[in-house]
Amino acid sequence: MDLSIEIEGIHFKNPIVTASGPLGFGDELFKYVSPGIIGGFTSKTVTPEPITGNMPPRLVYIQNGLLNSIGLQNPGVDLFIQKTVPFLSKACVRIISVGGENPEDFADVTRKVEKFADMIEVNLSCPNVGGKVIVSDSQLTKEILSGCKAMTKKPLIAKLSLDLDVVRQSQIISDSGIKIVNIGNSIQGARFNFKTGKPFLKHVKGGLSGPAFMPIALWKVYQVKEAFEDLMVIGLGGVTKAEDVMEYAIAGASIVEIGTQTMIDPKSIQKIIEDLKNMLEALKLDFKAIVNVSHRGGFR
Amino acid sequence: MEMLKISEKGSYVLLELPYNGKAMPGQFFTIKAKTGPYIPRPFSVYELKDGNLKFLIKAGGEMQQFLNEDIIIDGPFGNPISKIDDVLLIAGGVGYAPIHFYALVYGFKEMIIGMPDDELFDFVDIPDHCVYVVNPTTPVDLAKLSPLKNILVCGPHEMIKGLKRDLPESTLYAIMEEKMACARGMCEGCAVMTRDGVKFVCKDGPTFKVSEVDLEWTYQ
Ligand SMILES: Cc1cc2nc3c(=O)[nH]c(=O)nc-3n(C[C@H](O)[C@H](O)[C@H](O)COP(=O)(O)O)c2cc1C
Ligand code: FES
Repeated sequence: MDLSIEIEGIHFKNPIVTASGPLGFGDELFKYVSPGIIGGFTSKTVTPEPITGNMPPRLVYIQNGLLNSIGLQNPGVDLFIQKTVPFLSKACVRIISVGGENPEDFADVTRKVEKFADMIEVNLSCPNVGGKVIVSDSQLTKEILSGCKAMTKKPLIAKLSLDLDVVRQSQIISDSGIKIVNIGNSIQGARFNFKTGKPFLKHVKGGLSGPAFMPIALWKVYQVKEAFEDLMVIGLGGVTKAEDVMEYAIAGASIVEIGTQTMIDPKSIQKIIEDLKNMLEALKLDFKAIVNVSHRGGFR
Repeated sequence: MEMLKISEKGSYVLLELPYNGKAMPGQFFTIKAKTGPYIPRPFSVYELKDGNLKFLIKAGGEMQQFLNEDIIIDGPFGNPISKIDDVLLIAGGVGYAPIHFYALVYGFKEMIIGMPDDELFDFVDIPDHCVYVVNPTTPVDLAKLSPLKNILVCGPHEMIKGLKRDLPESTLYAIMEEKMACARGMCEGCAVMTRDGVKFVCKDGPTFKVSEVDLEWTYQ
């Protein structure tokens, strides 16, 4: 069966894309996985200036998940272009994630990277930087998106926060003329050490990834697709197997991203794609046919 | 397939698996079972001999419940350590694992082992001419008496900080054991601050020259 899907004129040979962050800039990942087998690769978020990231500990293990407090460490856009961009493979869709604090930052990075990308993902929702999550401020979000739009004709993806109302966020995105939302970033969480009485992480909260929060992300994908039929949704959070990809598609996702699972076992992404293909063969359905099917009364 | 040897009071476990590949001192593997933990945990090699790979694991931790299942290992990860001339080896607690493997492969001049209890001493193989200490004396106190200037240490943060503080003339190398997620230098989870900026234990280490590491940032 056909796994391919087209979004805003961009052809994905299959709907499986890596999530921004857990796989860095791909140099290590592609020692284990050929870019030719995945639908797309998303770079770690790039900012105008280098960011050192948070002091350790940066990781807290939890059952069925991971709390991270990386703090958007990255080399800054200029070094990224010098060192990483030449190695970004065209064998899959190249998505570059852009970040910053204000509209100028986002516009600056977008302007510099857009010719190396097929799509630009605007990270409006990092849980690990100081101050408020960008997308909680609708005016700021609109200014950032219009600034990025002015810099590129490539499709933009808005990456949303699961900690805030996704329908409200999607309204802002839709009003800004953006057609694709990523739902979404890791969710804020905390753990405390009962031996010391202190939080494990210096900033108390971190970003929760992994299967622990997949039902939340699935519900938000469904909610957004119900409210905005025309928005294309990327589903993200906790995928470990092909069945999870199916669930996201059924809930409304046209693309499904995988982060933590690919990070702990890079080769598993290949198995997920093969299993997905087999599941669709058994159903005798193309991938496109199952996207959003829960809103159409399920398989009939 | 694997074998578990458990210490007298059950506080420590030696996990032994058949393994036909290679691994060098300083390297580590990640370990998990089919049912968990979700993030495979990194463990330094304790021994690799005759196709048997051993890991020293503190019991009661998150790994324990999975050890009776079929174990899945991945690796080796990390950079091998080269032989260090006239080396004083220092280990603290289960940090003894990579020190033991180093001693087996390269030998050593002196070794000081600090352990929280006798149970661990009785449980692990300890070469003949070693000195060992139990609380409240620390390996740092004894290291001050050694004439050797090249030191390789693996142990708690406080031990590494103490050695750096009290032995400023020595060349100190530390095998750093930090929490990891990818073990491949992708996720930026296992950060240490060095003279050249942030480095990662899994990819750039796990052994670092301590004079080049900012221990205040890394172990604050
Ligand atoms: C170590 C780590 C680093 C991350 N860094 C970023 C980042 O730089 N930009 C971003 O948009 N999301 C980042 N994320 C969030 C992921 O892209 C993703 O939204 C989240 O991990 C949920 O998906 P998963 O459960 O498949 O990992 C990061 C997640 C992890 C675990
Ligand atoms: S564990 Fe991911 S970078 Fe070291």
